[in-house]
Amino acid sequence: MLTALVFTPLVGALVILFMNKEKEQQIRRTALAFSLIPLLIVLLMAFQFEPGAGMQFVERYEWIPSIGVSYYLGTDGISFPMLVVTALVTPLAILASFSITHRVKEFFALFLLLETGMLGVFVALDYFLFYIFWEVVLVPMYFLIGIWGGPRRQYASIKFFIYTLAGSVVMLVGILALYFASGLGTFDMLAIAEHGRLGRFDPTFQVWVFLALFFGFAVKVPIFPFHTWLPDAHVEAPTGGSMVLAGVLLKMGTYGFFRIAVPTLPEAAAQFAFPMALLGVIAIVYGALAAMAQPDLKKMVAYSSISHMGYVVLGIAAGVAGGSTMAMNGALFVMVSHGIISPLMFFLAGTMVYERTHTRMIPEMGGLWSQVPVVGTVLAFAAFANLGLPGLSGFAGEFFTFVGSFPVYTTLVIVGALGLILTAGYHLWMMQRVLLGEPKGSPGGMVDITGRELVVSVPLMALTLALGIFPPLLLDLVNPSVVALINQVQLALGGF
Amino acid sequence: MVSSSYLPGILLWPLAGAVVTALGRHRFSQRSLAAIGSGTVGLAFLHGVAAWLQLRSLDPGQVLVFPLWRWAAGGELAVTLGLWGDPLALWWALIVTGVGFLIHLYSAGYMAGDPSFGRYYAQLNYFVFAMSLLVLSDGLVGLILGWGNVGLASYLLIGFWHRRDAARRAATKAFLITQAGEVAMLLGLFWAAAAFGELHYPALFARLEGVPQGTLTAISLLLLVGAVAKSAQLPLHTWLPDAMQGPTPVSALIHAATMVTAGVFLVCRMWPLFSASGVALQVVAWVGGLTALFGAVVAGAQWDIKRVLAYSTMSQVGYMLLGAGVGAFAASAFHFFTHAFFKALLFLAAGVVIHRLDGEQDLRRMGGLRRSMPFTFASFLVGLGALAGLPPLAGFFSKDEILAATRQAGEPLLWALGVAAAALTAYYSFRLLALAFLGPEGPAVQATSSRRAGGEGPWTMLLPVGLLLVGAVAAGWLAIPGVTAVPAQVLEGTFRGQAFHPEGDSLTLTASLLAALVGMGVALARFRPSRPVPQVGPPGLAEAGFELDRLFRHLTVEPGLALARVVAWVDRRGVDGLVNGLAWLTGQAGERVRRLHRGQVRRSVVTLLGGAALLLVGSLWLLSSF
Repeated sequence: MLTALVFTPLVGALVILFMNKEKEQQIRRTALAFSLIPLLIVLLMAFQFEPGAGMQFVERYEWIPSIGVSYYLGTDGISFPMLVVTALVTPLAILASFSITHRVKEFFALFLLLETGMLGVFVALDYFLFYIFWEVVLVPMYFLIGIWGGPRRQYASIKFFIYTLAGSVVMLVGILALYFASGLGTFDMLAIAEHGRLGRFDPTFQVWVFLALFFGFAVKVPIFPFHTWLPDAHVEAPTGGSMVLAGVLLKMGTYGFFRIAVPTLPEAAAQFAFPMALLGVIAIVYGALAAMAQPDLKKMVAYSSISHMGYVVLGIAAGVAGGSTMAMNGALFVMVSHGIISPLMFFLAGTMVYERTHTRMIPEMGGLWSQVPVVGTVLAFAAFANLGLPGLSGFAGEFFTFVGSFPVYTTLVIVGALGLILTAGYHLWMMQRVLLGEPKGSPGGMVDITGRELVVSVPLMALTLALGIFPPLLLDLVNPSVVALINQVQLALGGF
Repeated sequence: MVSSSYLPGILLWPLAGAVVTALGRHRFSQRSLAAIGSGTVGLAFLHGVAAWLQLRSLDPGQVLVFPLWRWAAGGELAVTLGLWGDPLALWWALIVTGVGFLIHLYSAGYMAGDPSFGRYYAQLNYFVFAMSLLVLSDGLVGLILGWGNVGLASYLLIGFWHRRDAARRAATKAFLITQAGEVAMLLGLFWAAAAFGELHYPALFARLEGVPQGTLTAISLLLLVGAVAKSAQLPLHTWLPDAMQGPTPVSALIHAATMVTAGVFLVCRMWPLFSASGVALQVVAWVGGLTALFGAVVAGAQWDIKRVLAYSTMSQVGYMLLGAGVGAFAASAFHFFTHAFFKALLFLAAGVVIHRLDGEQDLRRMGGLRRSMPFTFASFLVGLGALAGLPPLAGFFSKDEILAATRQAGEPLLWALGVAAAALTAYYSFRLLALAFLGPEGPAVQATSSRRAGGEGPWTMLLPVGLLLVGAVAAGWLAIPGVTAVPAQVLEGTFRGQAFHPEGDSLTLTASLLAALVGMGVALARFRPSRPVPQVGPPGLAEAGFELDRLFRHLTVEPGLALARVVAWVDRRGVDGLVNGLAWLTGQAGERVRRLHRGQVRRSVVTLLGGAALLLVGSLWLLSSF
């Protein structure tokens, strides 16, 4: 089932490669259809998924036995929610990209390839396979930015490529070190993690490998100070690219901590927990401050992503150091919540608002609410969700993260909570200038929300609301896996 | 605990009303929208009454409950949302829905013809839903869900006429300041979760013992910051006068009768915690006492009729906190009750005046309205009399109970503050009355005198005013010293003998009456014969609210924005520059990559696949060679 899930988009990409490039509408529809199949599969899986039953839907075949590489897929409560997010956001991003008219065929083929990579990262349980998927994600995204991006796309795409490539090369070194030091002769992630938890890695070795992995994941998240590729990439990327970049790609970094760094190197993780928490809180505050000063709407959302990923990092650190299930649940919750809110924000900034105002500059906008009330309402919804309005998913995620981290890192949580005021500040200031006030620019002629825009935004809004009102929808899914992870870590650290 | 199916109705009807009016805002006529909007709140009120009767029929000490769903599960904290119908919660809910119903009805006339009529009702209904959630929740998580959403409703309604620059600024400011308070409150919640392991009220209160005093005080004070921001108390009050940009019925409901009392509700709700801390209660009393005085001073220097009422509200809410702070929780809840009537009455009556004068709000341009608007004049007379604390009107009894409690609790200084504020209250009340209604007709009145024939308004506006007028007269009779003590009795189920009930206090009675008469006399002597002319030039210190607004801006907003600019600059030039320097070093590699990929995608894809293959083979080779 997972194989079908992961490779359906790839099949779609191949199909598109053989299509006539003149038939653009047909290509778009084919891409959409192939991206909807994974969503269907994930929904089917959701019925069978049993929280707490460990790895499920496991598929394992020998692949390169001589060096212990196997084709090994599986999903648990940590990765399954990310599969749902990926399978949901990708078709919406494809739908949002229907307005692409330049090299349509290549665009959608690459987009489907990207989906295969993203889904693969979340289900791979073999390092070799994991790394391949990881790199598969990198390349299409590079092209999406570099070919279909804005005016400074070359700069942005190369920066993205160099940063993430540097990150992944260092990560590869870390992975290879684990492979060789374990002496197990296998790339099996779970087996190597087991080995690590039994304390069979030398402490100094653990530190070095953790640092290597940390760097690899930190670039992806991105964690301050490795974040500067993100604003450029987001601003230049086409809307669909921004949507999956913010919604899914960033989460690959934090997922790496959950799946690899923490379970495999628990002692080093505990050792680095405080610096990680500190970096997380710096990201929250720094990202929010930087967002406040951005006149470019898309850039503001980009910095807000950096800020929000800070919660995830803080939650992971508190989960490791303090054994707080709530903090780790919260971190995963923020990953999912931001995974649905940020695509909506980027869709607004890059398409819904941009196509009406023809600018992304906040000072040039005004009075959108009186011109296009429904679009304005969607923007307000997304902004309030992003600033953590109680009753929407962003609040729930932040609440769980903070409530779990508070006993562990009290001072840091207090500082991080100040970030909530800043977050409210830049969102309100943005709304004051974009939504409220007298309309600026060309009077009239603006069309309120289109059908396609509704189809993209309504599912994201509905899920944001559902998770905010009824968080156990997600919590019950992740909690058993998080409890298991925390128990393993605590056991490895000598228990509490 | 008895399950009650009436409780959810209090929330669900307004929520349903909000959804229907929002979706049907273009389809339904204004008449039907008003009927749906008001009717659903009326139904909510009836459910509240039914719940109240059900509660009264039970043994004392029983509570109505209605479990909802788990909100947080797993880990260190389990939260199940639910509704909690004890006397305090229903007391608040009845006022919210009851006064809310009257204001919804009034709005039908006041907002008639507004192109966004449906949006108005949807947002106002949504407010009633959120406020009911706030007061009926059985734990701090439910409370904060309501707390945040009344904030959103307030934001939307302050900014209702969102094209206006002042309105959008006021909306932002209100949300931001209350959000700052909410963040402090959240920290209080986190701390409480860590200290008690529970955020459900009864479970939390059961675990107070054994928690260090310092922790209890810290949690209480953090919650208090949230209360202070929401209730516009010193020094987080500056948003409230600006919030008057919203439609007048909104000011009446949200920014006078109900939402701004959420802070008082929080202190009364969490009374076991605040009492256990002791110090925190002391702080509550001082914040309240000082705000009562401050608000009264500033109100006496305002020229905008709604700003007078806004500062008056913050002053009156200060009294409520003062009462709660000296442990007289029932007296505090009682003052909330009477204040809801007379302040809503004043706002709605002010709305009638503003309506009549085509939007004029400057008291200096009014005057002599007594003749053309007798009913409104009577409303003001009663409302202001109640506010000033003249017997037998509502405010007299409730304010006196608070002052008596303050004295008997051994706080002579706070008592003196309260009495001084009472004198000033009477002063600004009758200053307003004299400026707007007495003397010769002012320019704004003359300019609109042709509309005099139209009467004072439609029945939907006058009926609510009339009913509130009755309340402003009679609400205080529920607690006449030595005769009745309804609030103390009915709220006993919540405060369990722990609330402080003052005895009849003749010294307080004499002092506050004297204070009221002096304030009234000075005001009438000063403003009855002559009307001041609007002056150009900078406002006086008191008129400008002692410049606290500007001080705050200079201390928080501007440094915040400056810091944001610095961070953004550093990010571009510093952090990014550093890394870009590194990138320049690898520029050679980058250049090559770029050249390779500048061509067609197909060729790029080939390169990509080639690269991947190379990587694969390379690593395999590398691996197998070990």
